[in-house]
Amino acid sequence: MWKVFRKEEVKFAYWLLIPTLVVLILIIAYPIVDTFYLSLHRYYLTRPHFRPFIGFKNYLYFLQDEEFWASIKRTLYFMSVSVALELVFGILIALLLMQKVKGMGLLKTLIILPWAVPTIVNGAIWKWIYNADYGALNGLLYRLGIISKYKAWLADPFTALNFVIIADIWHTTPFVIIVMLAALTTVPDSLYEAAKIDGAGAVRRFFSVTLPLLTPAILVALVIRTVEAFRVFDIIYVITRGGPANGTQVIAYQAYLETFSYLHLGKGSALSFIISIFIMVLAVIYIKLLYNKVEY
Amino acid sequence: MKSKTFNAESRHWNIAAHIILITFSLIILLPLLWTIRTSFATEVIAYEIPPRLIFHPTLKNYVLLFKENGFALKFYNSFVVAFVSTLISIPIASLGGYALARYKPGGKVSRFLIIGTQMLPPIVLILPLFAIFSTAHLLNTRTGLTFSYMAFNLPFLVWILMGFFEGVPKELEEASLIDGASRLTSFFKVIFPIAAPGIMSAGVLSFIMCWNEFLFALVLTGAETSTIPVALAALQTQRGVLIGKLSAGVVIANLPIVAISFFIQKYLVRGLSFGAIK
Repeated sequence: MWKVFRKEEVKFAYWLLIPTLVVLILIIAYPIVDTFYLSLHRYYLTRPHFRPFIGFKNYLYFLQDEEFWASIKRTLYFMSVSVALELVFGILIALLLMQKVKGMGLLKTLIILPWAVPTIVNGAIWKWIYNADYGALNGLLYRLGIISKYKAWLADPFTALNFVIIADIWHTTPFVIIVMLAALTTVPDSLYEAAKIDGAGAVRRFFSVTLPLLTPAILVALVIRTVEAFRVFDIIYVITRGGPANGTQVIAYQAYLETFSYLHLGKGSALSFIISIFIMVLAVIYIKLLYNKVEY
Repeated sequence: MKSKTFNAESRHWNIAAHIILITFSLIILLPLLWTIRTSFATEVIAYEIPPRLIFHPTLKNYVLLFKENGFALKFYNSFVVAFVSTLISIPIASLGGYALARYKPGGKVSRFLIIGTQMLPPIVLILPLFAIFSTAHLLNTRTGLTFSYMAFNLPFLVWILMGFFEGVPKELEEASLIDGASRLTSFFKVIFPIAAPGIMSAGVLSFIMCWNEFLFALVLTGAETSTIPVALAALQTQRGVLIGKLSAGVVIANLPIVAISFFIQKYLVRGLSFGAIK
């Protein structure tokens, strides 16, 4: 009897899922297969009818390509630095926002703003904050007497990468804050009171009460942010276009260039596919982690 | 005695908290305020070194943006694409999210697929989409862009809504089933109204994601159909960036989003946190 009921339920569930599945197959699954197919060919848009099958040669090309590994390194650097700082700032600011101090409500509203700003706009704002000739950063530091003449912040490859990271942190820390706030509001005050009465100092309270309770939220923020940071594109496109001297060319930007600037569609597809594989590996690790930690 | 030291401690803390509070507010607000200030400045003032704080504001940048760069059209494009794709994807995602939350078809695998597709880099989809759209004559159309957003945001919306539906008690639905309602009626009559705030949040998030999207719009649209982010990026890469105009564009791009976040901040936070925690 129950079995029949369950069968009917599952059938109903699949009916409900059909629209989702149709869309996913048409506009997500098919393109992925197609990208993979293209990645096995030599295919330049300049010679569209000459399209020989070359197996995994495009992939081998990148695995031996110094520029590819340099892009991967930059991407990993971008990812680890920005995500680590966003998490630290996010947790600290969220804890601060939980304090019952006048004005916190207003700040809670303001804090969403940088996240809600489109990434392109974020890039545009910071690009000319950094501008060498008339940027606000130069203006501010000059007025405060910290620098004696205007500086070209984005002229050095490594410095440029770090300045892009700052812009990214400004943009996405609010997201981490929101996730942390959501988790913190579920922590009963009585837990802190109890720890306080037991004589635990603020630091102890943080490590033995708050942090364990925040772990699931931290994991979630970590998952979402690393994946996003690994495929970062928009902000690079606007602020530096991968320059100077490829100093900010991350992997997604290299894939974009191969495909839409050099018109090497086969190579571009291979690169996109490599990115997807990296991300899927990340995803599997994370989901394992999440399913073990969080009750689903 | 004890309470006295406690008070002193909390007063110090209060001052420290306010200092940090003000610092963070400044870090958040200064870049935005500076943009707004520059949008009302003439080019001469915008390029002045060191920058001047007080000047006579002008609306010239905004006027030029609408006259020379067709920002009314870009705004319309952005709005229509974001709104319509949200309108289509939310019902689809609601059904899917509900099915996954309640009946768990396919077990963990289907959930993994949803989360996995949500993580895909957009760059892997863009080339085949470009090819499909060009044969289907959907390239450089709002319809094409709308479809691509609808599909690309769908996994995320399903994921979020799944979280909401899991919060709806099963008993409610069972009661209506026992009363003789069909599964579909009980979904629309019982579950849907309860989950309405969640669906609203998902809608808000979807709109914002579409409004902010860049790569798809860059590749799939042309001069007539491009959205605000593409127009802004184009303003920036022109020879000799016109900073006043660009700032005005930034302000315009932000207006709907800021309005949304202020009006429905509650929904926004709820949507994000649900999607994230569940």
